[in-house]
Amino acid sequence: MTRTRTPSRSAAHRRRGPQLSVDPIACAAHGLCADLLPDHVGLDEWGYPILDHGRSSGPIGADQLPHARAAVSACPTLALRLDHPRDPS
Amino acid sequence: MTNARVDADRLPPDVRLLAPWYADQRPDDLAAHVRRHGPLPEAGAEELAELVDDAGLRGRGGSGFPTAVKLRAVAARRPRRLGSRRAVVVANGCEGEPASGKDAALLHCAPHLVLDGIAIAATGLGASEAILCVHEGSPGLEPLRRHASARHDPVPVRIETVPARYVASEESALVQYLNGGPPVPTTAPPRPAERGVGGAPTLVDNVETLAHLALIARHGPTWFRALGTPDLPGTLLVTIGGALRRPGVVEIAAGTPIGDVLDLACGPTEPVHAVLSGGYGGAWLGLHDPATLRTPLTHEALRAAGSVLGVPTLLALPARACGLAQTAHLLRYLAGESAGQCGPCRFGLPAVADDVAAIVHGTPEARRAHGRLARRLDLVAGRGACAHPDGAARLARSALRVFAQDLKQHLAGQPCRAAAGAPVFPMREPSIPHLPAQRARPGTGARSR
Ligand SMILES: Cc1cc2nc3c(=O)[nH]c(=O)nc-3n(C[C@H](O)[C@H](O)[C@H](O)COP(=O)(O)O)c2cc1C
Ligand code: SF4
Ligand code: SF4
Repeated sequence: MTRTRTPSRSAAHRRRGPQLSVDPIACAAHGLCADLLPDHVGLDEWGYPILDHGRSSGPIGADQLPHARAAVSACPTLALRLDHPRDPS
Repeated sequence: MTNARVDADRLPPDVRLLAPWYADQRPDDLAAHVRRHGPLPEAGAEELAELVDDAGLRGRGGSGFPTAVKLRAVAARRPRRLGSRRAVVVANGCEGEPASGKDAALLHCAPHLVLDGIAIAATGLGASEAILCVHEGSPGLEPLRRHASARHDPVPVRIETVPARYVASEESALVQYLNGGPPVPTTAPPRPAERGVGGAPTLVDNVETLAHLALIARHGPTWFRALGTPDLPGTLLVTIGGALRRPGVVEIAAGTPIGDVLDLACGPTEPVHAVLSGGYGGAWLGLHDPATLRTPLTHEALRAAGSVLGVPTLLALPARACGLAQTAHLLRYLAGESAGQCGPCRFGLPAVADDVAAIVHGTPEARRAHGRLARRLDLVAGRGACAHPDGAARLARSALRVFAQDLKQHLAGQPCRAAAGAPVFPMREPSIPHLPAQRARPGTGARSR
């Protein structure tokens, strides 16, 4: 069995920011997202992304945002979405 | 629950939906239905939502979601501009849960109450279509078609058959199937209320929910709340099964304690050591804990007891059966019913079923399997597009908790003889509808609570 990688608990989680979410039907376990955004995305033993809260991440801080955007556009199956929070900071 | 007997004087006077059955053990045709319940009332969408809101009606399809919220969500999307679509009403009568027979029993005994509920919702929402979904090959199909064609509803009800698979009757799967796609769940959003059948705002409600709605529209919220609890008003159809003398479907006031509900089955056929509540994606409750039989049937009370109300089913596990082995059978079944679309469900459910099976066999692998099981359960719950994997994880977790003593034996390499036992609960659709367990006498009068 492969070892599970879980996201590290960085301070960025607590800051306000857009949230990443994965569509579990569309996701085909390519794993690019975990490479590009290791602070928020781990992979389970079958290669599917584990976000901070199951299917969605915590708020993504400004420092991580470029990586999150890169993950969204790199995902071969368009399974990732970056949603902006409703209340502007 | 040992030595339980039906005591006619203690029967709860809570028969509403199944009244025809208790009166003369015959389904109501349209004429009998109108004699019993009076003519079909009408209400606009907001009036209806208000009635349902005041009544506190919660969905009977498993989640207990407030019905008024869904009604309002669909009503809010009714056409305001040219070209937008009129609402669609879908009645979910598929009953994908193999252990449950309540929807089949309701559709058999009181088809016109369900059809009334559909008609009231469809008229109120100004719907263009009304669809009643049941499983393919369902024995109740032909009578249902006859009952539907006897009516003159403004929006005629179309009856559609859906493949008899567990996840095919999840609401987004129903919508996708009705739209010509495969009967498997889709990713939400959009929810059916936003974009459902034909792209129209769609109300998907369980058939029992709609039958209650038909009675609320006639008798009002105060009447509805005369039975049940403040949080879960009204009656519930509950399937009771397993090692019971008279298994079947009963109608009880919500909040009735588990022990009283099981008493309606005239006691167990043999010693019983646990009860599975909420269907195969539910959770075990141990009878070694005296609090179990006192637990009221409500969403909140069962959750606090470590289980769920879900689709109300109470299955009595005979003491001769190994709870862990039975859990392994159920997990294998649930894994086989995965739509296979989401990785954590497709790969996780078989992995979890394998781990529990390894524990059951008590092989040297058992300890390793037990070690990784907790982590795997965290990996499947909440990570699918629908709640199917969550139910499997809940069942497995409850087994580890309720059968903790047995678990120790299995991990020590000493599984009981029952570990090799065959499944004791049904694994496929019943071929005939479960008929309500007859009571000695129909309940009369009103019970004060
Ligand atoms: C895997 C799965 C299977 C389901 N099967 C059924 C079903 O057979 N019948 C049903 O009414 N609801 C079923 N549901 C719930 C429906 O998605 C939906 O919530 C329900 O029909 C809504 O009706 P209600 O608000 O009246 O409860 C299922 C849900 C899941 C996740
Ligand atoms: S990059 Fe896309 S397909 Fe690959 S694991 Fe991440 S979400 Fe899934
Ligand atoms: S969670 Fe499982 S059953 Fe639900 S849609 Fe995904 S694969 Fe299908």
